[in-house]
Amino acid sequence: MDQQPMTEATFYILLALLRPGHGYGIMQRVKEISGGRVQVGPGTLYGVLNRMRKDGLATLETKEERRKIYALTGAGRQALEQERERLRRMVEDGDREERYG
Amino acid sequence: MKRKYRFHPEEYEIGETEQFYESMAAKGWLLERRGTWLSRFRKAAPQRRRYRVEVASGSEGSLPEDQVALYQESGWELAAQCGVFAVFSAPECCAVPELYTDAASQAPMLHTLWRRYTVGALAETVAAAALLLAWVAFSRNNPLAEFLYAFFFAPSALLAVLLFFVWSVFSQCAGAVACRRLYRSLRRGIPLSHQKQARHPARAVRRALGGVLCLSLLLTVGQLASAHERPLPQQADGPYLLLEDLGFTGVRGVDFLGNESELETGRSALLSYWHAYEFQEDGSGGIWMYQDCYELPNGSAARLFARVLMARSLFYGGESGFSACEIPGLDLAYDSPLEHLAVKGNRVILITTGIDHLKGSGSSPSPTLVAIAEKWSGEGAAA
Repeated sequence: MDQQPMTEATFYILLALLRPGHGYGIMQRVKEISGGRVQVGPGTLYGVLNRMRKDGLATLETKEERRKIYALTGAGRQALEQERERLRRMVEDGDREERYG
Repeated sequence: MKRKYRFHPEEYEIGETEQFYESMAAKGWLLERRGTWLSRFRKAAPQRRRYRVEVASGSEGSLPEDQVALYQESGWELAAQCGVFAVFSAPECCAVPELYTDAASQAPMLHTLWRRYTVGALAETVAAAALLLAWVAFSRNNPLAEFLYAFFFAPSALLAVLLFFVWSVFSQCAGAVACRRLYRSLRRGIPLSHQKQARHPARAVRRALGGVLCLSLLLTVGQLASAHERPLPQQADGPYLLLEDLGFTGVRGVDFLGNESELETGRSALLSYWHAYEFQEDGSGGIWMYQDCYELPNGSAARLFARVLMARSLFYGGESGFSACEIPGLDLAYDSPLEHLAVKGNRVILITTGIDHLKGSGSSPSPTLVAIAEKWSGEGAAA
């Protein structure tokens, strides 16, 4: 995985993958997690999932008819945790500056 | 069911392609099939639909089954697919999500298209170079003479071949450049436009080249249609000789290769031609004469074409095999033991014969040249 900050779509897809699921299910889950704020198109999702598989963040668990079930790998969990930590720090920095600045 | 075919925009013209299918659907024509050049539509009720283009980025050559399934579950129908290029559609009224909600995630699609166009441009260039090399390798003596012969004899076909490569390479390069530009803007996060783009100069150039290519193909078809082959008449009906004009009054027959006396006539945009072959039985293998006679636009072209014919000479392979001679009534005359060439005004004739007493020698030129001078003196060849 490159060192660039994770895109919003990638972050929410990783979050959704905490529960293994197929493509359309992941799209729905992203919408649900973000309270409808974030929508991931099927093209974007397919590309991100493929890249995650190449980067070892997600894996293909099973295949049901034409659907593939994806799950997070250990590296994926770690990347998600690192991103959450980065975001948490950013929010903390922002809060602190606003409070005392 | 009513169907209709229409030329569609190029693959790299993504916004144009989507708008094209949307406008056809609004007129009641739904995309049913997509080919390399044409799309097929079926008649339906006019409807407002969204169309989106997708390109398979993997090595499979078409969209993977699970990708299509995901798009379909999201509300998109696969309208048509042609190789790596797929078109999805959805009713405009429904809240079907865009295929791509993140510009950068669409960049690989443009990279795939860019690679296809680049490989295409390279392949076309290699094919053109291979054709050129084959031309040089298979030109009997002189590639320039072969080129000039083709230029006069089949100018429209030559132009069509040249234009095909120019048009083809230009189209591929224009596609590669456009895809690269779109790829970069997607990487910068600028989403792809689903609207028609402003007129692009490359499109106008491509269309103009395509138009001239079609015209030259039509002219080539016209030339092929004008070609006519028939038995050689008993009385010459063109500017060529018969063996009878040279004093041979034998009976026409079939030579040892099974060829009969025949005449092929036709015209190109730059010349009219008569290719005659005559064979007479003489009890000892027979006598034969080939004639390639041409009428060109003017005397200068005829003189140039005469040099081309000598350069392409089957037996001598160049002007050095011929000797110039003076024949009253002819502008130019060249002689050799087997081939005799005459020019008068806009006419050129190359006569090939193996008859012993028609052979020319240093002191006395071939009687065929004298005979053609006499024949042409009564007919006016344009200067």
